[in-house]
Amino acid sequence: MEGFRPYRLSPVDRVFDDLGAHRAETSGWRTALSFASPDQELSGLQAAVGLCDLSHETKAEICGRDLAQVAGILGLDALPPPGSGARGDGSVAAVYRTAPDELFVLAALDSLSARLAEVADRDGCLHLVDRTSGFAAFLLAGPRAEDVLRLVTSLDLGEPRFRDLSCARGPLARIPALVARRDRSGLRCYEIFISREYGLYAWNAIREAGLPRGLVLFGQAARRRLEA
Amino acid sequence: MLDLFRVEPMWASHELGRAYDAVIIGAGVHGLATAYYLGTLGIRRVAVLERAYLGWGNSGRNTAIIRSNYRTAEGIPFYDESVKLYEDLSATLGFNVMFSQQGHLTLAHTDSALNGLRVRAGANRALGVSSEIIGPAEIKRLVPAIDVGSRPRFPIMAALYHRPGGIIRHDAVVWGYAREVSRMGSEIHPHTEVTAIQTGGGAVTGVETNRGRIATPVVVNATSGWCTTVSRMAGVPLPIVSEPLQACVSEPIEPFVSKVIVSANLHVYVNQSARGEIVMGAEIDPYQTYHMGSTLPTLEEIARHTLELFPGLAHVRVLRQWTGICDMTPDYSPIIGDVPQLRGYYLDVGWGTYGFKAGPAAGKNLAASIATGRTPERIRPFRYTRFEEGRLVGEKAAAAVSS
Repeated sequence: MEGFRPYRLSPVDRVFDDLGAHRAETSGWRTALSFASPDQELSGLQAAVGLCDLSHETKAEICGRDLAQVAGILGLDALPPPGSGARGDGSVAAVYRTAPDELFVLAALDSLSARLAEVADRDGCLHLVDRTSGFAAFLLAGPRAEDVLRLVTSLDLGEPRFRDLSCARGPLARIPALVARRDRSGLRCYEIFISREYGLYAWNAIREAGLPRGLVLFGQAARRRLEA
Repeated sequence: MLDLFRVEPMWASHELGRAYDAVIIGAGVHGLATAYYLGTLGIRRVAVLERAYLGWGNSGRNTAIIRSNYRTAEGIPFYDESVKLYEDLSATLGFNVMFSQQGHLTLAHTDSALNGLRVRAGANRALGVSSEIIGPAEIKRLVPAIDVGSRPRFPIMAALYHRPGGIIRHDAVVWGYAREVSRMGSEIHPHTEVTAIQTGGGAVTGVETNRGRIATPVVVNATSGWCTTVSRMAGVPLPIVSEPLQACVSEPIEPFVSKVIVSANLHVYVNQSARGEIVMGAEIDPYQTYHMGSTLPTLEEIARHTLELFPGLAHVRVLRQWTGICDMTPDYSPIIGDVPQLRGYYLDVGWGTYGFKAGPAAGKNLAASIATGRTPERIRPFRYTRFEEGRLVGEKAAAAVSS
């Protein structure tokens, strides 16, 4: 066991084996690479809707009065207005302004850590919390994603209120959640963040709502193609 | 929205009645187990009162370790009865309480600690409880991730291996008991705080709550953390001090440790939940308070001591930290049973760091005491009167770390 580093588990990890997932280790997390073939998964979500686990992605909350200081650090010219978000520069996937004094930052794996360290070193009223393991994160993608999401949340998802790069906090399957829209490859895509204790419950609720509407599960391989 | 989320409540809601055959204060595992076993004895006009939600107190704040490898001739059979009740509890309640009897290792890092474990092993075996001393090689075989080398500050010399020990899902125990209590017809009243206990003629007559008065000839104090303040309402002082105990869990990781690991020298105990979280507990904080805030120094100590045992956890992050309030008696044993100077007043308190593992046995024996008017032999050593009789049950050697 010398040098042994146990990998981290997603809140929904336990169901992946039952669902026939092909597993992979991604930056210290055990993830689902695929459930069927990536081609099948991609065509399924493009035809209807797909659900993917993003819980291994780095997630951070930054809040405080001096929030404007962090825009440059996160690679943004300016912070987005409350209730909306911005695409990042690659290492930062997205920045959502969840409140006037609060940001929710999503990044690919550990690429954010150097930038977060810089945020932490800043003077002023800034508070940084790494939420990576605290939140389950799911991606609901496809032309029927909005239909499925409407079945589990009372949030107003209609255009123009909830256009691309919108975000809002509200109940999802009766659990407080953050829902953000970030479309990929012209497809409607929603990112769902929920306290990890309720992650499996929320996953099952979304899946149950989506199955009659053609929901497919997709893994990291299909996701990479979707985002390529 | 789709109606996907309809759920049946596990226990019924009731208007608070004006009179019951018994009122139990505290809807944790002890209060609910007492109500359950009273129900099995035919006493079902019972109200269980909880000032917050079910399991808000120490039933939801412990580290869910179950064991019976205690030190005294009084304690060992009592906790062993509880382990046996837990073994059957899923079937008894028709509800999976997820009891994993994975085994429990108490580590010795010094000669004196090893001597103490030898005494416990002997006492356990004499009373029919599985306990044995094992060496570092066997420890390493059982727990490959543990560091048994000579490099640590406290090298592991041996361990007391208690095979029946394990971990349980504490919320499930509370919910399972609550469901059966409700099915039997007794009532559970969350968010109902007792503000006074009424007495007359040397007996209990009722309780005053924030929702009204209840007449009853029997009041059970099954509270934790605040048992002294509740008992003072009945004019019964308790020789108890209340001190905080902190614990934390890590982010979930792959299966890493499949035994409960306890180190009295390092003041830490570690297990891994079914979800993959590493559950880590500390020694009691050395001050008295009812404050349930968590502190960074204790978190640092837990982390430092856990890493002495498991260096491979160095990159793992802590996800949550919490605090419970432990009611400590002078002899580290609980107080269970009637109070001679106040008829109808029963105690199930002073559970220090060993309350959750005792819930079923305490509830069963206390229910029998209430129903028959006779104190079962199993709990007679733990009566309130032992302090004035000078019959203390010194359990500190097996309970000094909150395992």
